[in-house]
Amino acid sequence: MTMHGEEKKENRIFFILLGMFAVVCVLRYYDHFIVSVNTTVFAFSYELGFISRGLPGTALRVLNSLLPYDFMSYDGIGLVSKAVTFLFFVILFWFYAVCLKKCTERMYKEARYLILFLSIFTFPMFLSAENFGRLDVYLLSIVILSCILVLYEKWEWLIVPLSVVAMLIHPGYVFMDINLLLVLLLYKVLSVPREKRKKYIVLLAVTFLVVSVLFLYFEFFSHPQDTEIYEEIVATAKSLSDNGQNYHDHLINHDILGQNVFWDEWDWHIVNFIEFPIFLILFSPYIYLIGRFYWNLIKKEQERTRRFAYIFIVMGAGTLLPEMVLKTDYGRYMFALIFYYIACVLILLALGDEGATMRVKELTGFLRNNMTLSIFLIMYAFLFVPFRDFHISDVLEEFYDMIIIYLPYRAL
Amino acid sequence: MRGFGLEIEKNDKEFLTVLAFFAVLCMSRFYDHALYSHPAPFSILQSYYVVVLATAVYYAALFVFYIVCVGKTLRFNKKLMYYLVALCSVFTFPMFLQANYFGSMDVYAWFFTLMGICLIVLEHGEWLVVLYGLLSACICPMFVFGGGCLLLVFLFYQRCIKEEKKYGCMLLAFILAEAVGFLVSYVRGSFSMDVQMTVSLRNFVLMMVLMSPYLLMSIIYFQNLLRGAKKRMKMAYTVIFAGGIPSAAMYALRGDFARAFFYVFAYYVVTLLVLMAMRDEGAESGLMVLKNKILQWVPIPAIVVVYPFLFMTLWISGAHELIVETVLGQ
Repeated sequence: MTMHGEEKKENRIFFILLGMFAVVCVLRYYDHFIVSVNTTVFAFSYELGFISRGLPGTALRVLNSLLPYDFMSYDGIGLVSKAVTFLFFVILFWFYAVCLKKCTERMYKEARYLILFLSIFTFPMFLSAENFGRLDVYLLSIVILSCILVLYEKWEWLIVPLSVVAMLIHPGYVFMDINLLLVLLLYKVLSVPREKRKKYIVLLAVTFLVVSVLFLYFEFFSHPQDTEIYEEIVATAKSLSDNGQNYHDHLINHDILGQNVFWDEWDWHIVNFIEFPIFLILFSPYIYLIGRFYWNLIKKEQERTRRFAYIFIVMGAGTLLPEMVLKTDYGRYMFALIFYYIACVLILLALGDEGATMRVKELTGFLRNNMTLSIFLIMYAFLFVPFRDFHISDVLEEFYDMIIIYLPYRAL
Repeated sequence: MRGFGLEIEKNDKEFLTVLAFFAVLCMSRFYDHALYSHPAPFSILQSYYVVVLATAVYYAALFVFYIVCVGKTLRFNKKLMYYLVALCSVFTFPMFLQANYFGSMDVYAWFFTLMGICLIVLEHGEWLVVLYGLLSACICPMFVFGGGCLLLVFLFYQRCIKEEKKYGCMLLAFILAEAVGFLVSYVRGSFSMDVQMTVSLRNFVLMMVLMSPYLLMSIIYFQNLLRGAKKRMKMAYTVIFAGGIPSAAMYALRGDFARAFFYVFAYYVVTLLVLMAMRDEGAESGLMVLKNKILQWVPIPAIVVVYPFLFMTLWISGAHELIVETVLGQ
């Protein structure tokens, strides 16, 4: 695992370049704007009871009372969002560094390409108006941090409180992010020696139990359903918005009044129905490559328990299915999907998994033989970023605009 | 294809097919659906459907140019050629889809220039280049300093390597045609420069700083090119190197920094493509040296092709998102 001077130097140059790339992405994609869904959420707080997504608003109020700055404002949310996004970049780079440091020397080149590919999607994701300051950035930071702890095998007990914090920030953690951590813990359970196994079983069980309980509570028992509280939240949300008027009614209706907003979001579902199949077609080169990798990973594995772990990794993204059926932000879900599958490969390489190492080598061999694919693999991805919210990306929105005019249904 | 001496193999077809698909997606991603007013010799050239058609023809001309370049390149240089074509596409695909440049006369002039270059590379019907020069100067007089230079330097290059009298005559005829085209547009009253202030000077300077590694690469490349060359070839290469300066300088001086940025990069990448297609030994070895240096310096060489994408879309996303607004505030 020791790094030779040459590789160490290459990795250092790689990180400098990646840092430059991140800076240029910030300059290029940062929209200087927070949409109402990301300001409204700060109107929620535990002053109104133990409600869903109450932690960010409560933390903002604490900051407001402690520091001589008006955090309970649009600018205050902007400042916090900037700080959190910066922190996210730091954690992401830390994760990359850990993965690169832990993987075997012969996999450095492949790992670097994977990191670059993942970064093309990840760097711009939380900079656009739609996603800047979105609670996803908090959740992703937490899950990445948890994975780093597991990879380091230090302070792993911290993943339980971290998961609790994530659930208090947004119960959607159960669907969009925790899968990465759970499959990692499961992989550990199935691959570590017997004496260490117990620790990971306990961690897996406790984490799963805690998030499940919190999720059930927030989903079924945390809605105050009080019109006075509703009015108060609307007033606060308006005061936090960019123009003093905007607020996100679906969010309040769902989280405070406990209403089912499925039909309210029907127009956006239509967007999803049109864009998603096109996305699958346009993204098929990547789907093919990722599918090919995981298919071979499972198929060629001789050891039964490890194969079982790989199957769980592939199925792990299934946690996104309820979101995809009931909710509308396919841009976020597609990003979560891409992040999950690429991060899993990186983690497997960092864990020195022999099967993953061989399959990645096979895949790079395949790409080397398909020159065209290898040239466009990175370039092509640029056309899709940044991923938005209910529109997956600008390319897909263009297709949607072209198609919707021929449909009898008039959506957004 | 064989009649023109083009060798299009299975890999080439695959590459060009994927490139075509990529171009379609670029159109979907970067097309702004807006047509602004541009100085034009005939008002019909400003009609929306004519502009759409002209842009489609520009894309077709680009693909013909790519086919010629790929088909003419030696087999062991093909991979390098693919990367160069990809790099060229990063600049040429999005440029004339953005609202400020969609419908500008540059697309017509680029069409004639690309066709002219193809004829020079194929060594078929080269006299048509003179006509192309005349037409492009009539439609877009300022293009004389951009695409006009491209045709001019390659006629000069042919004159240097072939030492044939016809290229000398062609060169003189081409200069004359450009001058006549210039004069015609002046007499017709369509002699006005299409300047689009899409990028501020501060943005431009910052972009140039961020793109400075490419300047270093081009210096290394031309250094290698000149190093082993004979006196006549040295002159040809120097003219090629200098040919990119007039357009960039002119547009930069007039404040159209986006165009200056585009022309300087498009010129040099097209130059590399043409030299490779002409199987210029100096260019091939120079590019090999550069490639080895890139492999030595950059742990992920693909980023060299991909990085400019961020800049080509910079002004395309609208003034409020520009780099300086982020760095220095609104």
